[in-house]
Amino acid sequence: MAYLYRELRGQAKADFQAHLEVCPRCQQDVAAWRGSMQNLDQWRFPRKQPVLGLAQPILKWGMAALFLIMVGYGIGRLSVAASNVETLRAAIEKPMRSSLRTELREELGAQLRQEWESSLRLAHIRLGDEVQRRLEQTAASAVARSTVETERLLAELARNNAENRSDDQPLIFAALRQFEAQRVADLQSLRKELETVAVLTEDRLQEAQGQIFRLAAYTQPSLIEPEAADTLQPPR
Amino acid sequence: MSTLPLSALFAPSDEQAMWRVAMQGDAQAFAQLMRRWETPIQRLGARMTGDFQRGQDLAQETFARLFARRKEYMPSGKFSTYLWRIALNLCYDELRRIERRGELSLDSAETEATAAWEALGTAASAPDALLLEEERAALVRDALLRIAEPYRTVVALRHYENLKFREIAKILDIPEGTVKSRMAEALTQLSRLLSPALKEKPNLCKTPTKKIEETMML
Repeated sequence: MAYLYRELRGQAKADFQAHLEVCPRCQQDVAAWRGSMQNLDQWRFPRKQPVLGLAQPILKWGMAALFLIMVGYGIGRLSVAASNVETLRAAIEKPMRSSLRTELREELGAQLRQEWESSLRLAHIRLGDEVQRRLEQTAASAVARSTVETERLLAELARNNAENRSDDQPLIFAALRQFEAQRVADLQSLRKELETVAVLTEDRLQEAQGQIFRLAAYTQPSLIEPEAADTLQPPR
Repeated sequence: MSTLPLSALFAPSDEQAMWRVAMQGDAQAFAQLMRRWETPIQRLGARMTGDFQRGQDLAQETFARLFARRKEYMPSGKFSTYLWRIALNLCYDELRRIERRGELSLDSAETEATAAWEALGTAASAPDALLLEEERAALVRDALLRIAEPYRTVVALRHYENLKFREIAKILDIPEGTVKSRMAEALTQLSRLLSPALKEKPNLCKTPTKKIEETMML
């Protein structure tokens, strides 16, 4: 197939041709296929007009030239009386120039527009990049600034706290001292009272002892001796 | 005149133009693509359906679909591959529709074709060369409609549009060897349909043997 459609090159083509010369079966196939290809060629479509896009500029220039010639001819006819070559040329030159100028301008305009479009697109992309970069920068600096601010505020807060604490401390100390003094006073008064109680108790104790002795002496004066325990036995 | 090569130099490639169409809906670029590709797509439609008018409609539809799906275009592949695929799918759809409506009776087409072809072979006295040419074209067209779509597709792309086997393989997404074997089978079938001489001796057009397959691969 590749051979029939001329897609074989170099060695492959030579090899196949060599094979074809000695192989009647392949010759037969190739012949049949070639016949089909020729048959296929018989279905043709009416050819389209030559591509207009290619012919258009030539056509345009041709029309412009024709127009100029006609204008020149018209002017020539009108100015037969003063058929001066110079004036004729001057007369033709103007429309020719203007026509050429418009043509050139259109051509240039189209090319410029194309270049403009591409450079605009490029600029658009670059602008996008730049904006993104700037945004990122701004965001980064804003974050940094806010971090610094936060740190400052935190430090201030800590300082305020410390100040408040140092303000409170004397008060607390005073209160504590007052409590201490109160405690000491209470303790002293308690001790005095305890001592009074002790003294009183001792007095009373001695008094009670005296009374006991007296009582004992009163009931059994001889039994002031240590064997008093026995004396406490009920009388026999 | 000097602007001609200059403008050709500045003209964007199909891929660039399609990229513009896809990205910006660039109408000018789309018009350019249509100018370049309308005729080949029309021809493909005509070869596939056997009807030139239908081919023109299919080309219109192809470009409408191309524009509607412009966002789906992936610039990684060739634009032409993408376009041929769209056109072929539309051709297949159209052939399904025709089949459903029963517009093309292939049997009658075959008998007419073969009868006319045989008549041509015997009738040496054609009244008019142009008429003869038209009749022959009609015979080829009918024979092409007789062969199965995969074969017809390969014939349309390789024989008529002059695409390389490699390109066709890419468009149809099948191995290159398969494209070649389809082309061989298509030509074999066509020779059977179109050549009365071969028709009389069916021994000569047996289905491809191993040797023939080797030939096809080359």
